[in-house]
Amino acid sequence: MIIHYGYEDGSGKYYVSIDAEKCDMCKACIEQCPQKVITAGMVMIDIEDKQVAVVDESQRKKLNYACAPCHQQKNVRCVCACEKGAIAATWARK
Amino acid sequence: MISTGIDVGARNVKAVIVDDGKILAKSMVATGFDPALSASEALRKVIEQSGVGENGIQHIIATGVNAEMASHATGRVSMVRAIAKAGTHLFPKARTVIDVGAEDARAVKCDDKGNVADFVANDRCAAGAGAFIESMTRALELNLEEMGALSLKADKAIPMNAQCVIFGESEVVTLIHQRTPKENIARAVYDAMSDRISSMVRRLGVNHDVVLIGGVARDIGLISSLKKNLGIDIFIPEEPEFASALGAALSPSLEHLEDRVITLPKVELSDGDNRAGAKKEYWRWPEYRKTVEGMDSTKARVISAGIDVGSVGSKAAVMLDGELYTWAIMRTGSNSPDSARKILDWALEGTGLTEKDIQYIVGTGYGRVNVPMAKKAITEIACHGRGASYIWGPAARTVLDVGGQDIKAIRIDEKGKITSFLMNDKCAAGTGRGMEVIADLLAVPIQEVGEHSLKVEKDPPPVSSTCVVFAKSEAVSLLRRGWTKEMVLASYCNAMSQRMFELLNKVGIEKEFVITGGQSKNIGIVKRIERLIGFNCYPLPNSRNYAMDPQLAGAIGAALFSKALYEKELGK
Repeated sequence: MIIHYGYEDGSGKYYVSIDAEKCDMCKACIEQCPQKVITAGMVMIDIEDKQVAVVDESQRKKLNYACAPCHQQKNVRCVCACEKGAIAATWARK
Repeated sequence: MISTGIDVGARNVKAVIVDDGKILAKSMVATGFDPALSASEALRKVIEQSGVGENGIQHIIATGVNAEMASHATGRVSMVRAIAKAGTHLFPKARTVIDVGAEDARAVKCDDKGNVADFVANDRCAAGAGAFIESMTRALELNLEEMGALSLKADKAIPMNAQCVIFGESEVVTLIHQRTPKENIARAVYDAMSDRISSMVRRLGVNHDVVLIGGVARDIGLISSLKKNLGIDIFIPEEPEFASALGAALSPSLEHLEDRVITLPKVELSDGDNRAGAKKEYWRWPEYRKTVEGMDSTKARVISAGIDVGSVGSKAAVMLDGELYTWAIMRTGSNSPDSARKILDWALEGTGLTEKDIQYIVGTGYGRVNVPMAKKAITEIACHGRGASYIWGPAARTVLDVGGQDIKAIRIDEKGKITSFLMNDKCAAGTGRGMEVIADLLAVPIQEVGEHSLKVEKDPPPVSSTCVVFAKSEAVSLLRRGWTKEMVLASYCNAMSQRMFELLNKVGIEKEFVITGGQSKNIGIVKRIERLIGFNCYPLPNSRNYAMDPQLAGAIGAALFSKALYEKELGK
């Protein structure tokens, strides 16, 4: 189950997409994120709750700013850190 | 010398007659749909009250966002100049004047003669304007005076994240649901607003002689919060709402209009006029309940229920062994534990069942954590996916849920299990609430919006503003330019569909596409989305002997989860 956290507004598109089924909670992305955007959270898959990497609720509406440093340096650490390929990120200012 | 100032604002027209710097007479009329008519009416009233007579009036200066609509004016002056003039006239020491209008706000730095040195205006976002407080009072079910007084009793400062007027409203509702005392919520609203205003003022540099004008300057809650935020005292004139009109009257007109004979028409306001106090609520959609005939609840092995407390509507669905039996849909009140109980009671009405007969209840939606009788709360995404799969059958793959205040794009597999989703809850553009606002503005019943929007020969370009508050102003100006209601609706539906289409693209659109939520009933949206994606929505199956309501998807999904969870519990 891929969860797209983020939004699209007048200024551009900003998403961090996490595949909750691929995530095995190794926490590499959480440790690598310089902005504490990624954290541990509960996601319901079918009728079971599973602890996985999620985008922190307080950050979901400001990914435009929170994820800017990584994208500007072209080194998106959460994406690189994930060995399972469970994370993808879109950050496109118009 | 006698002069007249008229301030044609977004909400009200204010007119004053000034003699030697003193207000002789004043009048206020709601701007309504026809600012020109309202301006004439305000002028007629003020002249009548002053006793000067029409011939005694020679100098009429207009200001305000709709200043050009004051057809009797002999001159015009910008808002910025008018407020600088007024502020320094009322308080000679004043060097900063803040004016907070209904939909915008501005601050001016001026010299001792009331000349403008610098100014900032906030006219892109309605967040720091009067409309913000107004909509928050509605959410709190208070009037303006009550909210101001209440906020002073707050014992805790709580932060508000919302910037948008629409989301501010839902954040307030959430806080109410969390049982935050109204005092503290009221203070949070004022703090959020004064934050916006002071950041605007700080761009000019704050000095110690600040005047606040505009209707909100009567609000003690805002004044208190703004004083704290800026760390200084603020001067408030006695009649702050008339200050801009006063400033206009005192201004030498910079833009001379040709001399015209001032004859004012007698205007009779009819009852049907939009300005009248009691107004029909066009946004109100019908609430209803239904029980499927021919089902016997006494033979059911598992009776499960789902309660979906949305930001705008509450839905309850009760199922017998996983088949929909009875349901109800109504508007969400400001107290969600109450909404949850009311909606379940209504769904059960006349069925002979009571809450005790239900083995498992799941709460979902925006207010899901406050469904007291629910054993578990499940996100609305999971429930909508499951519900859509029940309503349309296993073929459904892409679900677009257009709720009251958010849009969800969901991909599901043949079991209704989510494979991918996104939820947009940052911006109210394109949501059901936005549609309600437009329906109300155009005085078109919400259920007829879609139909009317399709009556145009060719779709006009979409409204440019995504913000609901500004889309509303844009709609008003389109109407003034002679657009028909149908054209405005078409333009708005067009913009909404475009927005939904963009979100759908993110999750990827697969055929067997369905729409849930209240907007699934809006044919104007459905047709336009179909046009954008290039194929039609998957039809509702006709195998049922009753009409299925896609607005119920979340509650149905929750009831199905209830059954699954109950069976899992038994299995243990």
